[in-house]
Amino acid sequence: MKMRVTTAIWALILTLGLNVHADQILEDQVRAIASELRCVVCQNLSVADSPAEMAVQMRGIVRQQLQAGKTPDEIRSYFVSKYGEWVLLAPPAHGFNLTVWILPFAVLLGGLGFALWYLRRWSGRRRDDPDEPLDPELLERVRAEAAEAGAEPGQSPPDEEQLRLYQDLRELDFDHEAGKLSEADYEALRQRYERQAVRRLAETRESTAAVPETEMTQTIRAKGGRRGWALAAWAVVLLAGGVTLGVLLGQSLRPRTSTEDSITGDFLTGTGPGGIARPGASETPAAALRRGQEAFQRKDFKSAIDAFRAVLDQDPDHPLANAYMGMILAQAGHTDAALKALDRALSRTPNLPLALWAKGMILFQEGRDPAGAREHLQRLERLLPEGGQRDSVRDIIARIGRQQKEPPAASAGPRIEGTVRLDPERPAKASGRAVLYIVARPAGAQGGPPLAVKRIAAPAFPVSFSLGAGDVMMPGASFEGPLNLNARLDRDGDPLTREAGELAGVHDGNPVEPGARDVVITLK
Amino acid sequence: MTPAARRLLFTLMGVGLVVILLGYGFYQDPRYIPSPLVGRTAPDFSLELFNGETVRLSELRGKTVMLDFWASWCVPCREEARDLEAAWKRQGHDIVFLGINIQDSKPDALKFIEEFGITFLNGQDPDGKVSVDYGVWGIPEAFFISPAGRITYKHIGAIPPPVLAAKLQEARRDLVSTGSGRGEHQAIR
Repeated sequence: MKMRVTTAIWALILTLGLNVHADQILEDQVRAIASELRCVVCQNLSVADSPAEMAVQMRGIVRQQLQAGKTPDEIRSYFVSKYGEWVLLAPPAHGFNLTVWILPFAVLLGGLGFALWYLRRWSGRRRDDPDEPLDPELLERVRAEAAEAGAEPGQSPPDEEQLRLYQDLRELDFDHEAGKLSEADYEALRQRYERQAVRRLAETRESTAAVPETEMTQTIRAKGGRRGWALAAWAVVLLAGGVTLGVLLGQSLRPRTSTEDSITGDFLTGTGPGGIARPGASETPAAALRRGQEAFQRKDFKSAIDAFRAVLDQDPDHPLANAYMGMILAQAGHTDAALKALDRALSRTPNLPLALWAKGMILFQEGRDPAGAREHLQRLERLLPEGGQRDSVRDIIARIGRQQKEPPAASAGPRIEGTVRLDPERPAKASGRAVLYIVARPAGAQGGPPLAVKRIAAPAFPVSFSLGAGDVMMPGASFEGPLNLNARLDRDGDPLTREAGELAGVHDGNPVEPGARDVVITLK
Repeated sequence: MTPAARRLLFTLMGVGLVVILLGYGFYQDPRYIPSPLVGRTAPDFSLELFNGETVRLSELRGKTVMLDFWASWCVPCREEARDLEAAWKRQGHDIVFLGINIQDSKPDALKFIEEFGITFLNGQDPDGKVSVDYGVWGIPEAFFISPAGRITYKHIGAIPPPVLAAKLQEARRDLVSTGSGRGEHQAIR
């Protein structure tokens, strides 16, 4: 009998797992398409990333069209036909849009080309070739002008560079006459300065040959020319630096996925879009989840645990990863840890079929809380479409019902059964994290530890409960009356913390004896 | 021209180009989305009206239709509500005003209709399908549809009564406007 139930459970888990897997693929496709569409009501956000209502509706339309069999291209075309190419985050590379794609690279290449040309020219000017033939006429002129440097030159007046070279030649002569330089050094240096001065003179003559010199052009050439080129070179270097910085910053910053996450990523910290770097956590949560689901389906639980841990490292409340972890932990016999993981899954997604199923089955199989098992499975039943899966869940609910009517010998003994409900005049909605505690204390006891406690996570009111010997908290104590019953709805699920405004209630007919039925506690 | 003057000219041209580009960029409203729908056949849809009936756009072929996307939380929609109702009452039977309430709750929408005494047809687009089909991004947004079923004009923002009357006449004659109109509007949520 137990074997049959286990086989049925596995079959259902695998089917649910496959359905969840297909849903995940669809969601990945929706996200991929939505991330290419621009949100129409927010600036520079994709439809995938925008929390706006319109973006949610657009994602819904993408999902519907995918389910209807449309291709991503057809879906993109649909949105373009409604909002124009504006709606595409990356404009298509044709027509005028090509400018957007080509211009930055063209400017970058042009800038680099210019910088290269300028550097070559600059280094060429500094290159000193001792075998270079010199114009004897210019050499003569250099010597004559150097000799009278500082005085008003006769022909075309030299520029600042030329003056500096003449000054160097005069200082060289002075040092030589003072005996500070050897003959060989003096000759080598003199020839070098003369060559530079002749070359400079030749360049000046070439650039001014076509245009007669005027006072204004001389001033512009001498002062502005070199500065202009230097500015242009700096502008190119700054532009290239700015573009590089922009590209690299764009890649290195990303939205934080959790409070522990870093805003930097990729090349700065070596982390991917998923979160901060941890060993084996370089893949995205979606990819890790897929890997885990595949490992789970082939019953490779070790790999599955690794994969789901990678997801939970980045998002500790990830509903699906927690649900799968819960199922694996339950298989390994860690029931409490499994229930904790499943509660975590249900805290964010109260109607997650996999978690409802797993929790319901754990509570049922362990015989811990048949009422809780039935409640979770009933919630699942309402979610499932008519068919095989729903029928299987119904069968198990019916079986729980039969077992509750005929309690097994192990949990024999009088029990207290009843219902906890919300005050109809003060309707309140229990959050997914809320936990209901039903507590039985010996009548007349003031405070102290309770005799028995029933814990029901994410309750859906009205909640039916059954309190018995299995729920006794104090070792060795027996479940005997008279008992006072009360219930409390803990908002955050932590029994040690109490928040203002939490709902609580006491049974009007206190004290009660074990065996009492139809006990009603109203939370106010 | 001397080389120095030529350099100066090129520098000024470069700076001028950047200034023109920046000026153009600042003048443009990055939120404004030009509609590609004007001049095209109006997308068909079926809308459940607040009075319980259902209307299909294709069934209104042969009549001039003015679609108005609105929400009760939209201030410019409140501004134009009375003007629209007054214009509707003045029109003949061959013109249909159809209000499409978006991103709103039904009670709020009904309260709005009651407050402004609106009598023309109104329904809700709960999942945003019609809004996206018409490329809606701000409200109020009005589409004028000719008896042949073509969108002749689109106006975003509260529409002044003279423009409304003129554009209805153009739509009646299937005259397509070259551009869209703009007025005070509010981005949808």
